[in-house]
Amino acid sequence: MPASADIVDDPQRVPRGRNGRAPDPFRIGAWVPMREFGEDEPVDFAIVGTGAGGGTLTCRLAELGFSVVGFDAGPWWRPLEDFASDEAHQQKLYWTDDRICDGADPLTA
Amino acid sequence: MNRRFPGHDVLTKRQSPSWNEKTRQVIDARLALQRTPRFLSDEQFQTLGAICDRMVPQPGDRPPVPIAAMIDAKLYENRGDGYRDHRLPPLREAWTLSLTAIEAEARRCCNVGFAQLDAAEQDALLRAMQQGTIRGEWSGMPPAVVFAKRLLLDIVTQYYTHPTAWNEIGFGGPASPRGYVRMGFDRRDPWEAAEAAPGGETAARKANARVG
Repeated sequence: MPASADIVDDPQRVPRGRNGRAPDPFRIGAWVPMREFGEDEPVDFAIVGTGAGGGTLTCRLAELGFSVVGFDAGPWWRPLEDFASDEAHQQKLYWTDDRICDGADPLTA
Repeated sequence: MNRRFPGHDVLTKRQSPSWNEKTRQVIDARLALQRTPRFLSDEQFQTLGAICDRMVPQPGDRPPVPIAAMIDAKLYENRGDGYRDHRLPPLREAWTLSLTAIEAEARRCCNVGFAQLDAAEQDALLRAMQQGTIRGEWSGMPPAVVFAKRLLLDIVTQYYTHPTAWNEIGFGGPASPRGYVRMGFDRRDPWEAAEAAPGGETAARKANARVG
């Protein structure tokens, strides 16, 4: 992808999943159709967080014919072109607002 | 001179199929990092540089990894980790308070800045911090915790994001797009560094010339 397209197509500033389409994870720069629902429209499922769990569940339910809305606060990355093969760079995958670790046996920190 | 992985330099693979365009962009930017501070004051930056020199001493026969500048960039961009110990303030505050406290303690004990202490004095001060026996104004932060979970974490992490450090430990660098194929014990993919067995430097150097 040329550098000029990066500036316009920045998922951290402008949501990518809209206007009836979503990034195609298997083809550089391509799109796949995405069903959308109006704000007043009832749906079968609303899933908050589309990581490994929520994203998969959203997909399976939609494939089975349910109407599903998936919510995610993060950018919609394109796996083929948005990631360098580099550990430090890929920190951008994570939610990096402060979470406070406390207690007798904290999971991290 | 890298005796353990002779001739290994991850950057020689930059234009090979081992790297893609995005990886080149990201690593190029890391190597082109500005060496003067944008977030820390000159004095804080000097203190930080002296701390880095003691925590990760670097050999004199190659350009050093600019650890202090990398940490300053992290602070400038306010790149948090996503978690923090409840006894510590946020990233920027933890660093500035620590550098100020270390500098003040150096002046209190020896009447010079931390960077002007000799190596043994610097080590003694850092050791006291690590053991929690250091004096001074720490704004409620336990010095041992800030040592382990801020100073050490950032200094070591930043060091090992640099290709020079990858060469030193024989890390092959970016694994994609090529990927790990030879998964068995003691197997090395063609793009990974060859380690010299004792007396086997020539063979390893020859193998590393073919790494791509």
